[in-house]
Amino acid sequence: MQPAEEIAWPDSGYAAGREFEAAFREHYPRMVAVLTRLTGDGAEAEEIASDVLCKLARRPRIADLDHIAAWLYRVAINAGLDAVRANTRRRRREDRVGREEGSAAEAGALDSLLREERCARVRSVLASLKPRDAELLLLRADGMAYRDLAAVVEVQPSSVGSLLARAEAEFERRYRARYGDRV
Amino acid sequence: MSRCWSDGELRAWLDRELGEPDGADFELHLAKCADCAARRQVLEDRSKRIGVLMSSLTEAVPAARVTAIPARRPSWRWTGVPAAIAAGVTLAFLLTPRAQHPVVPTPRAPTAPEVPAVKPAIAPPPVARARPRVVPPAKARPQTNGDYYLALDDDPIDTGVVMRVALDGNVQADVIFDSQGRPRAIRPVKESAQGERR
Repeated sequence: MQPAEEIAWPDSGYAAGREFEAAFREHYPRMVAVLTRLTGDGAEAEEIASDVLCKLARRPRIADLDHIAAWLYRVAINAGLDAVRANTRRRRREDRVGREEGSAAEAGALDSLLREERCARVRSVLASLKPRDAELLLLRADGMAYRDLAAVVEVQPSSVGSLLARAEAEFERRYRARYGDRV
Repeated sequence: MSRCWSDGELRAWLDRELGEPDGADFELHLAKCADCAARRQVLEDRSKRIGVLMSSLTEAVPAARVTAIPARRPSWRWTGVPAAIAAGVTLAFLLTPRAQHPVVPTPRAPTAPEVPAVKPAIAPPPVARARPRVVPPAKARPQTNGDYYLALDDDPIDTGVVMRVALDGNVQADVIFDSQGRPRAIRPVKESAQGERR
């Protein structure tokens, strides 16, 4: 395995290295899990998570980041949403080409196609939401507790329920507007 | 409790994120307030529908890629032991002086047996003297110490993140972590003559 990028810590950055290590250990697995859910591609999720950690490492002083978790998840999910948008565009092009070539799905693959279509719709609607709403829905779907969600989106824990309810309502509204009443 | 609850509070109650006293109050209120009961039903149905959609994202991903995140932060103590053992074995391997390949002395060419001084009638054919074979000095093997990672288990490593970590004392090592944050391979960091670690 070839490391994609090596980070050289400056001499004065040893303490920052420890901060980074702690952040990595605490958040990397969940970042990958959430990004995998969002992008549908484990390798892409790991790549995005690694890029975000590289960005974190390049910050002059990590210790100044009071809210490392908030920064990490925000940047990671924004990058994931960008990837979903790009994939959506690519998928439209591929679908158009597929139709032009008259390719037909085999009967055995129908379930798989329907499942993929449903995932693509969910990702597309997520990508159209405000990043904070998408962040909340993804992290909550991953089982994150309200207290941790509050830290990530930097609100009071008592506000998480309201934000989550609004995000779900907005998600459903957009989903119905695009794909009909059946959610 | 007399007041009606907001959607946010109802949503938190559905997720069991309200404290116990609040939850008990809510259930008492819910039995009396039709409006709150209706809103709770709407929120619950919506939450279930969206939960199904969000969970479909996980179903579509290969199972090996998605693992449940433990609620508690995993203990890292157990990883220290194999990492320390692996680092010790690697360091011992690296620091042990290698025996150079000895230069094998060329065996002397067999000499012709002594012939008695009696001059034969026919002179014997001259014995060809074997030329001594020159053995080139053994080339020094390229130093590969520290260029390879030592796997910490037998599972294949597809992708991962390389991170430099401090072991005991002043020893550092590059460790490959997989997507679940597990250390999978280790490589000690050597300090070069110029003082830079590599």
